[in-house]
Amino acid sequence: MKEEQNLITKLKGEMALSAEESTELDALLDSSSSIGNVIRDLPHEEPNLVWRSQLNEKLSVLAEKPKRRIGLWKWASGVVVVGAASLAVWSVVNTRTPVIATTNTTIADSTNFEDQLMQSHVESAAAMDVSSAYALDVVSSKETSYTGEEEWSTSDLESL
Amino acid sequence: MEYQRPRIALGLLMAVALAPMAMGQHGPRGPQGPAGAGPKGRAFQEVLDRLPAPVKLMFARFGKQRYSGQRVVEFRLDGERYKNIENLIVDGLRSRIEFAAGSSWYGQVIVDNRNRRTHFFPDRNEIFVGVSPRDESIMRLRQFLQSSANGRLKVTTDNGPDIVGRKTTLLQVADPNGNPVQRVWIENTTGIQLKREIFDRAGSKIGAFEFTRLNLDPKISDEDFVINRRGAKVVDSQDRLRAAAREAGITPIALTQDSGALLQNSRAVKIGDRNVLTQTYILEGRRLTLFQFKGNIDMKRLARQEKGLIKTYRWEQGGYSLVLVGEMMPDRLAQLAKFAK
Repeated sequence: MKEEQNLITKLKGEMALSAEESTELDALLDSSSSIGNVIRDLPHEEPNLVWRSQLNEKLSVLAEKPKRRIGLWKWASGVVVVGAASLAVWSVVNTRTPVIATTNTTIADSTNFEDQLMQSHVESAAAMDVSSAYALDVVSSKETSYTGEEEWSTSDLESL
Repeated sequence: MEYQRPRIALGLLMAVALAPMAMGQHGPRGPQGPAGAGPKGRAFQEVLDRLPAPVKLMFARFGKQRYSGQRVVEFRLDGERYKNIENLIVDGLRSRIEFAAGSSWYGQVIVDNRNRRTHFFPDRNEIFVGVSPRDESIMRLRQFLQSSANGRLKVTTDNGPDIVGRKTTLLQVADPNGNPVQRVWIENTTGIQLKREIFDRAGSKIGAFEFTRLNLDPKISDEDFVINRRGAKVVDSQDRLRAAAREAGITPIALTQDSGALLQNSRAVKIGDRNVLTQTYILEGRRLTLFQFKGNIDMKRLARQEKGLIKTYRWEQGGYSLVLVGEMMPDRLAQLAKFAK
């Protein structure tokens, strides 16, 4: 009975219960003792301001964790998006490897000696195929562009 | 593909023209002509048999047409683009080409009279005398058709647009991935090439021509095939070789005539910081380029550039590096290298 009175005192004083007391309280509630009436008779009070303040602080602390999770998710989703985009680009590049590799090689290597030798052969062969002239005297033609003014020399005119 | 059925007269004409081919005999142009026999000749013929009449006509009538006209020619060389407007008179194996105003080579005149070429350069009053190129360009198309027989190239045809008011057939040669190598638009009733485009491996157009005028009934005189310029200096391919070698500061090494290769053109070219002597030969309808320079070369890198039919062979001689490039197998190039003197 004494223990029951202690419990009632603690409950009324909103004091913390030990593990044993909590077990005892549960047993008393189940045994339909007078303690149930006591609890019902307890004054219905709003939680005091100290308790509410402590609760708010705990809630505010707990509330920051979800925010951190949201930030982490944003960062993670960004990584996922970038990764997916990279994967997509890689997939496209990988499926077209022969064409793109050839093009890149040609562009990147266009200044090296060996590639320019080959390009020179390809271009001159093409030029000869489409042009009537195979004596491709390019340098001479560019340096001394003909104007037509010297088509006839004095000796030519005299011979007419 | 859709194709208009040729007229009966055209069919009869072709039957006569192609008869020697079908019989495995050489045409009037000799063993290097379009009618060559042997496995390659048969492969060519099998592909040709599946192609429409204008394509057959192009091969059969090449070097036998008679026309005059004008065409615009564009090509790229040593990183520069050139454009010429050529006025042509063609009478079988004879032709005259004048480079009109607006051309990169304005004023030059070329006359081909059967085997002999005369090329007048007015800027230095010089006449180049050499061998007429005749059928190299058609031989390249023939090689493409041969290569299509084993799947290395794809040949397709289609109806082309009207060019200078004439119906055309498009012949396209592409690599196995469908990248165009050459396109030729052929006049349907004569087989004349009215337009041609050549592409490099990067897909860039590096050479093209297109007719802007065509007269299939021209008045032609024997005088059209003569260049008679008093006081002009006459030079040949060996003179041009020596001049180019002097310009490059190189003692020239060239393929001898015993090789069968004919020297067509020589140029001094600056590639990077090196002086390079470039010689272009023609052999069996294929173009060969011989590069001569000081210093070494990365053959692995050069080999990586070997695509399709083009192969290379490199050797050292007289203190120079020499590289022979052409549409031939490396062992054939190695044989030719033995004729370098």
